[in-house]
Amino acid sequence: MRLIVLFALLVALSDPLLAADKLRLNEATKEQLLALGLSDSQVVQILNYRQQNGNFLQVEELLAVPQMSRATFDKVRDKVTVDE
Amino acid sequence: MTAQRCAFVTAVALMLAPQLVNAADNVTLADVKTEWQNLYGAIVYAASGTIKNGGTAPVRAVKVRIELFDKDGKPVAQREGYNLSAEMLEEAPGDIEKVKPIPPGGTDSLRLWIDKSDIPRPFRTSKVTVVEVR
Repeated sequence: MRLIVLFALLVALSDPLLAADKLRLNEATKEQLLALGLSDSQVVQILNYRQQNGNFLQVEELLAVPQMSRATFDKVRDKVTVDE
Repeated sequence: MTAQRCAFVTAVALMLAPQLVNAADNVTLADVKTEWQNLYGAIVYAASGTIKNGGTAPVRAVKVRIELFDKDGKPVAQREGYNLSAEMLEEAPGDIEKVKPIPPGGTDSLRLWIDKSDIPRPFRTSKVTVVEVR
């Protein structure tokens, strides 16, 4: 039983999406963004936006990214953060 | 300036001062919404809403300020602007007589934004306030 709990803890801590830490939007890679459940084209748009306009200043700035719907934003908003 | 003229100017100033304060008190913001907007590639943090003149006298220009704060409450950026009818005052501050007044009980729109390039670092909250009424 103790081993199972320990294993579960290790898995949780090793996966940034399950751990308490949120994914840093300004450092996130394509793979990490895809892991949030975003589509290929949405991830490309986010990366292009970041390259053209600099770091995100708020998580809500994701809504200024082309093709980012409110529904998609609501799905990921609690899983990401920006550097402060 | 003679003593008589000085007294007159002081009296007028004293009569006007409370009216200015009251005008500012009676003008309120409603339905204020802030959001990021992508205006054909220009990224802005925008505030919109309604300005209500709850006073008994018409007002022409309502100066509004948007302020952004970081997670510690420290100011990050700010910008000031006018109600929609008075936006021309940003270019021509002396043309207040050309501005259509907001009548008592009337409203005007507010739209104010800060370019992303004018925001130096991440912020968490924003505040929109009336700073001057004319």
